[in-house]
Amino acid sequence: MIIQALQAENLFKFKKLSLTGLPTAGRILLSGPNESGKTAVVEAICLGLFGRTASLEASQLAKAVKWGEEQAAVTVTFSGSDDQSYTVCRYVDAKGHGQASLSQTGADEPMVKGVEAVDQAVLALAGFDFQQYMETLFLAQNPREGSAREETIQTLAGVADLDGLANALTAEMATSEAEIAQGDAQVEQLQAQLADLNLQEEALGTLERERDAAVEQLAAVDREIDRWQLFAAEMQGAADGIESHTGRLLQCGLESGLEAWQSRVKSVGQALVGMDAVCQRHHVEMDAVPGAALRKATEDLGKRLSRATAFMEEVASHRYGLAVWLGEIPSKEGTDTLHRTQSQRHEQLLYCAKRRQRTGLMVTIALLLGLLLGAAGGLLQFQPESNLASMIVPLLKMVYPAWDAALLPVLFGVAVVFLLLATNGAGRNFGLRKKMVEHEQALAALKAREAVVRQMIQNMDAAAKESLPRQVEKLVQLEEGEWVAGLAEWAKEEGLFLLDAKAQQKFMAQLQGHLETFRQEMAADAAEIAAQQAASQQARQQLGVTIEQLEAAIEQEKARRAQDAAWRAECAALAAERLRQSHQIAVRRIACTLLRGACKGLSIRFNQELRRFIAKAAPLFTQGRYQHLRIDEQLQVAAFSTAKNDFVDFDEISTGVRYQLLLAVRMALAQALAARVGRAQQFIVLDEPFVFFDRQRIRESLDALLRVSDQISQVWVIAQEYEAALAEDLHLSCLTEEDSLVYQG
Amino acid sequence: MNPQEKSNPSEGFQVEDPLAVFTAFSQEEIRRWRSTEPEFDEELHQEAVSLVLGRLKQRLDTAKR
Repeated sequence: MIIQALQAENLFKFKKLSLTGLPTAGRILLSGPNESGKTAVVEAICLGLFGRTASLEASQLAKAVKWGEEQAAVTVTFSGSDDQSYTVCRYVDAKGHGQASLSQTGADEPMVKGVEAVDQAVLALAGFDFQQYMETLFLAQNPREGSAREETIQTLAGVADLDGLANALTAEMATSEAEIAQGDAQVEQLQAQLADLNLQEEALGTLERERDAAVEQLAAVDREIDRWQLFAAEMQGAADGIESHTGRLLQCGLESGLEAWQSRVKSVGQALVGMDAVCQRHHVEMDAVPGAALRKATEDLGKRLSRATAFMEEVASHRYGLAVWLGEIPSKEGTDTLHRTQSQRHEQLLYCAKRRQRTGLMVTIALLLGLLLGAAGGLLQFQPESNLASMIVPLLKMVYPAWDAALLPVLFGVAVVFLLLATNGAGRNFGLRKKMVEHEQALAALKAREAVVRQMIQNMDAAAKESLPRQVEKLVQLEEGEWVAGLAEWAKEEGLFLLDAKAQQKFMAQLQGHLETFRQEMAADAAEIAAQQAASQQARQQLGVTIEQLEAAIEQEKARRAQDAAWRAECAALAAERLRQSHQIAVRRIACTLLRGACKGLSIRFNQELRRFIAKAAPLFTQGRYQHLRIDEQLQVAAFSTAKNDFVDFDEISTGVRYQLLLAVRMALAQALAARVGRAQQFIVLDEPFVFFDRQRIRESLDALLRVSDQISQVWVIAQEYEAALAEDLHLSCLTEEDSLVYQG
Repeated sequence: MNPQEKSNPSEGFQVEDPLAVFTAFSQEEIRRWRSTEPEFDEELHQEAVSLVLGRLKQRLDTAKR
């Protein structure tokens, strides 16, 4: 950095300060008496560059404003480390408020505005900050030995970045170790919590199995309840049917027909069968089925009615047979009927009459022939000569040409045969006559039977229209029928309740008693079913409570498992984080070791280089008297005194020589800074460095200033007076009574 | 000796690049550890070197800005 121009208004003692066209290389000498403003010039440079001065901090800048003025301004034009020209402007009012801008020289618009931004931009362009400037490039009037802070030395050595990084990594390690300790504590706490949680692996499965079993039991109980409800409903339905049909049966009386009795008994029976089916479906033992007495009575009644029905069927069958016999109902061929029997008899009677007529004729003829042949034979036997006999012989020869008297016995034999035939025919005729009489008698009997049968049918039909008692009474009076005796017996015993009012009343009373017994049994069964339903409901309620408790326990167990998993995951995450942190620590520990090693080497080489530079610069400022210097790491200087033939401490050296050596050290630091910043040229400010120098030393030191370093080319030197100023130097004289300083190069 | 006849003391003033110094130093250290440490974890050391170089470059870039 080279100061190219410096302008200010109302700053410190100056109303106007304008130094333009300053030489970029060479010495700029500021001289003048005390209070003439020499130091104010370099303070103005410092204020322009860094926003503060060696004596005024940023908060004290109000003191920089010229007394009585409202505002001060300072403008510094300089070349940066990039060799570009920049102009920084700062304004300070009487209250200390500052404003700043930075622009490339010649540009209309500033590149940076604001105090902080300008400070940062100048730092970047200069390559050093205020402290580094003060400790390397600005030599105050009363410098201390070394005079540079460790931070500045580290920066100059290039160690600062490495050391800063090492410190940062060390801090990170400390943070990681703290986090590891914190993580370990968390893990320990989590382990304790996990131990307290005491999660059992099988617990959830056991609870779920218990819950599933309870749910199945609940479903079974629900089915049981449904079954009981269905059983109760079906029982009640069957009972209602039995009640209803038995009630209808109880309404039967003497006027009720057999069909009505049978129908109602059948309905009661069916209702009882329905009850049996209900009980069977619900696995009730038959002994426990209600209505046993009613069932037995009904079955007995059914048997009795069945017997009556059988009798009635026999009656009907009988009537049917009679009707068929009478021909009122068509019948199959061959069936014995009145008409067919009569027809047969008539035919047989006619046949006998015809055969008897034919047989009579044959008997007559045989008898005549026998008598004629016998008479002819007798005539021939006893009166062969008679005329009649002579007349007979030709007839015989006509019939039998070989007739001879010797055949007369044959003739008698034939006559006998005819007579026998006539006798036989007469016998048959008598037999036929007898059969004819029989047929006539049979026809008469059929006629009589027809009348009887018709009367029976009439009686049966009349009885059928009567009530059952009257019907039975009439039927048993019929003279014909195998069933009559049985029906009469049934009417006296089994069927008496149907026919007799008293017996029927007794029977109905028994039936009513059976019905009442059935009701009581049903009530008992209903009570038992209700008790079973209540028990099932209670079991269901208990199972519901159990399931709720199990569900709650399952949810709690799940929550515990989730908590366990979360804590274990947290432990795993913490373990992974611990591993990562440990790895980071290991990496950083190695990094720090390497950084410290590199820093140490860097520091050693920097110090060697600095000592080498000081050792070479010191003779330039001591006129070769102190060529051998020993400078430790804290830049403590010991000089080799040829007079004492030994190194002497800094305090043992004369004040003039000490300041000469300090000047050499400061030039070395300035060179180090310039070299660290880059290759650009650098200015340095020396505030009255030659106070203890004699004129010879001043002359030689001024001469040496520009020879120490190639980079430190612009040297600002403040002194009371310069007798040794050379023509090439820029000499600016400050006067106490003047409040302006103007130079235009 | 006449001081004016001395060579310029600034010649050869060595200002070392910390990045380069660290790189050279770390590689030399790793080489030495590798050859002397039976259980040397080179991967860990190279990670440390990479960490430092990355962070240093970041710091230097930040300082330049």
